Amino acid sequence: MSCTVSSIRASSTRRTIIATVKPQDAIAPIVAPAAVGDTDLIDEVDLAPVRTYWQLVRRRFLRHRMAVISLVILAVLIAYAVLVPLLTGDLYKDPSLRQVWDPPSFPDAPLGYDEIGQNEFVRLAKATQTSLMVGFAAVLIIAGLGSLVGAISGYVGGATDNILMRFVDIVLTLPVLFLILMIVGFFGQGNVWVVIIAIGITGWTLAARLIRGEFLMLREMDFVAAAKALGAGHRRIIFRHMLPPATGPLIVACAIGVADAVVIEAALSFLGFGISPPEASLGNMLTNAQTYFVRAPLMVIWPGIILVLMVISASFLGDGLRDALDPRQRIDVK
Amino acid sequence: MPAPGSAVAPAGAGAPDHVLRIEDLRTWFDTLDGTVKAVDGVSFAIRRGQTLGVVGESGCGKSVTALSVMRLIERPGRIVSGRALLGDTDVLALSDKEMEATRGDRMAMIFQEPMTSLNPVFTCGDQIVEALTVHRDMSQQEAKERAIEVLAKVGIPEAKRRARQYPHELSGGMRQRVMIAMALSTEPELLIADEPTTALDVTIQAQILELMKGLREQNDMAIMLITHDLGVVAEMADEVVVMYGGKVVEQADAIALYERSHHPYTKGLLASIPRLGEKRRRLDVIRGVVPNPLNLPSGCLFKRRCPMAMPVCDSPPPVRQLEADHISRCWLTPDGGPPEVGMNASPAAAAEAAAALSVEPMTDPDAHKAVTVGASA
Amino acid sequence: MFQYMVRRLLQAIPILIGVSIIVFLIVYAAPGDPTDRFRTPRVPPEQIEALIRAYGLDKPLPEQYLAWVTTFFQVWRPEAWGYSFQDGLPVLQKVMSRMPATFLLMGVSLIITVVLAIPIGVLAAVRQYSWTDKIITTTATIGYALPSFLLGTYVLWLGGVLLKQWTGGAIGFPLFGMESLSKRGDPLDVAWHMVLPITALVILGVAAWSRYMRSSMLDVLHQDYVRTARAKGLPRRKVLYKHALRNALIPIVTLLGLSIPTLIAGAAITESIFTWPGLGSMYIEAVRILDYPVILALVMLTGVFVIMGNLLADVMYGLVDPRIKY
Repeated sequence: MSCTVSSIRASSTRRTIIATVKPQDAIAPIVAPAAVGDTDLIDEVDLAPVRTYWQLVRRRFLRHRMAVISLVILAVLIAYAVLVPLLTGDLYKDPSLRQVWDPPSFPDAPLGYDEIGQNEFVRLAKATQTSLMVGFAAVLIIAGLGSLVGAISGYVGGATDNILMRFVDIVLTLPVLFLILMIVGFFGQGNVWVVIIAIGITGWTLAARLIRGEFLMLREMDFVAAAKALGAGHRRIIFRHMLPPATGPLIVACAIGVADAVVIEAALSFLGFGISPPEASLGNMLTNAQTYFVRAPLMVIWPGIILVLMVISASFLGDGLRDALDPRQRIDVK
Repeated sequence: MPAPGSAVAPAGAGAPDHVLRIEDLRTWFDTLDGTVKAVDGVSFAIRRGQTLGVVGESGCGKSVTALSVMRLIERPGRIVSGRALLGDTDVLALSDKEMEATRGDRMAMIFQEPMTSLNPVFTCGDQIVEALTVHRDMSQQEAKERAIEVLAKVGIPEAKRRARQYPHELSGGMRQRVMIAMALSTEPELLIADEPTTALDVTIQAQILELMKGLREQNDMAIMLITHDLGVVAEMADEVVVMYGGKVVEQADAIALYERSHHPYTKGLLASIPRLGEKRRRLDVIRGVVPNPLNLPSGCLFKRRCPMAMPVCDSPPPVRQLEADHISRCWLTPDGGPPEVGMNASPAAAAEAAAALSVEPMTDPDAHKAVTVGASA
Repeated sequence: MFQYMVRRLLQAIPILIGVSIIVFLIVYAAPGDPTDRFRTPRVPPEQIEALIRAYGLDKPLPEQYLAWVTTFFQVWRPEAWGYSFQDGLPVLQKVMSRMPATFLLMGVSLIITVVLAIPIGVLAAVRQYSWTDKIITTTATIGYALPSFLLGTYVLWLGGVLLKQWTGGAIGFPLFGMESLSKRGDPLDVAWHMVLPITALVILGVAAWSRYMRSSMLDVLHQDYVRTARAKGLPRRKVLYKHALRNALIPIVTLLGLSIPTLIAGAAITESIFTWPGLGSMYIEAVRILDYPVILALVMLTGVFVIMGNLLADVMYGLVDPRIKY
């Protein structure tokens, strides 16, 4: 309340009133408070049920219908990718001249057979598995490398930050696809590990920027100063205090990152640089299918559907996670 | 003893003097968690040349009231009922086009944050010119000259040069002056000022208030001044409306409010102002917090924080006429004693008594002349 | 402003150098060397040695790097970028001959994308929470998520194969290339060939850009100055198009600048699928056959364009937003 101005001046009646009016007499209750139980100080805010951070996160996440649906879809896809290959072993690359272009038959070949007699359903599962593996592995590299660089850069600041960010700029200046093609093309066409590493070392820059941003912001927060005041060492501060809150955006980025990595791998295989037959990848199944557009159009559809489902689900999942982990004020309309 | 409703002169009678008359305005917000009744039955009036201060804590509905009158409420908010008479036009009933013509012309509004309230990609002068060309039949050249005139009037030195500058080149105080200039350029009948000085330094605040006082005298303009700062109200207001929980809890002439406030909330607000030169160990505060708008208590909204609360406060209190120009929404009698119907009255008896005691909040400024002062059951 | 540009150009130089070093190192580390294709049993070792000396391949790494990087920028000399391993032609010449095709494809698709995406994004923002908005956002999210090679393949299939089937061979878009052999130089023919790849590119582009536009517009619509404009009594249209849109377009303009580099390297995969004779497909082929000079040159070229694009984006931002003072 800024009444200082009023108190200083002296001219008009009104101002004089403020300056001279005495504080109201102590407001004497008519009834002793003890006699009126229900007017005790109940703070409405206290009546809200207590929830932990993760409960809140889960509640917010579950509100997003699309995100929940996506989660279910992804779970089904992962189950498909894990269980079928587990049960069928090497069946996916087992050609059989007798069954070339055979139509679907339940329950063992719901999608029929391809041009060299391989079981399409089983092969698709294996392809999904490979793509997912590449995706997760690559994201691990991205997250690990990115977090490391970002955390150091954001925490230490100064010259180190400058140099590291220049380096990030350099890497970002190069087109990702070109770089990956170069690396894979030179060092290992068809080698799944080269693909993973290539995706990893070209993709960490965004994670680094993200973590750095979070760290720059967190560094100024009081709880970091408090930890320092208590004598916590750098490592403890980074890992125990700063990294956990920074993981929010990182998790979101990872969810979408897996999808991106899967797409890149598929693109590489499609072009012939990644995984090649007899190994299965969503990408090379599509290349194959291109040749047989007219003969067997469905073969083009299945890998595409899986891929699109994966990416869209990851996208909605990412949206849902983002809102759940870091909600902003939003007036939700009924 | 005034019968309920009879205190209000029919609309139009004896009304040429008032610029704005709000009648039973209700603005609600439909959120996922429930309906927030931001403004729930607010009525007051402003006379020509008068400054009405609207005070209350954050969240009491004062800004929403102003935005409702200007019809700037967006989804999920909606104006549920009520009338807002600008002169004898109910602005709540106008078509969109008609409203656009009225806004910025007959009534103007300035906001709290001068730093962000001006469009950064247009010059200050252009933004004033825009207001003029939309509402007045002026050529670009005429509008430009008038804009510079008005900028000078609000005390901006080198007005011509400043008009060509962008908002980010001006300080906060200057930007607020530009906002005022923009609002005044069309010489509105009513200026609504929503916390115009809250974001400014104390010294700039004083300047802006001086400016507003001078302008109001020049133009005989009515001002609705929304603020949470009782000091500003003391400087500027002729009459004061105190809001709490979306309703008017007290309304009085400014001097009466400071000298003879009645409602415990008002008393609490006044008591909590620290005074210079006074030796106090603790400040008086109003205990508790504003109620959760999604979970409002029954009866009097202030009862949980009121030191005078009684069981009868579970029933909605009457709006009492205390003196001319002074009403209060409270069960306490005008001299602060327990209500006539008793403080433990049953809900039914309380409701009946409230209906009998209540006057319509003053919408006709001359209504008090028809009312007997100091009546009691 | 001029000083700022000079400063930024100077800042860009170390980045360019860094880029060139990294690229050079990767290529240098690649297995094999330029003389591999000559190593047949019929070529005597001494000749290989002579070749190595002639190419300067026996010099130390830093020297080789310097030699390359200094020649790279001397674009007035036809041999500046070396000679292709594939056909021995000067790389500079090959690149220049295919550049127009890429520019054409990417340029047209960018224009169409922006022209479509801006109104769509604005519409979604203005009608936030409505069905229109939900449909647009969902469609855009799906479109954004589609991998480019997938979309390209399906578009090709639909427009080239299925369409022919459904219309009994009457209408069908070409399955490959930029021009038909019989109609060289005919712009209409080129346009006909462009339809499918541009469709694919525009779908992906509009999905992305309309999201940016919508988000930018939403940000602006919640700003105080929009409320002021409405309080002034300006008609809704004016508030929207004059006050809000003008501000919302600022980040879009920046994005446009940043999209310049994609005019070179944006659609390698799409070009490959549609067999469009541009720089992207050239790059993929070069990697396939390990044509190192071409690879090197294209990556460096892209790097240069990215830096130029960033600079252009900054400059345009400064021109469009009066708050920025350089």
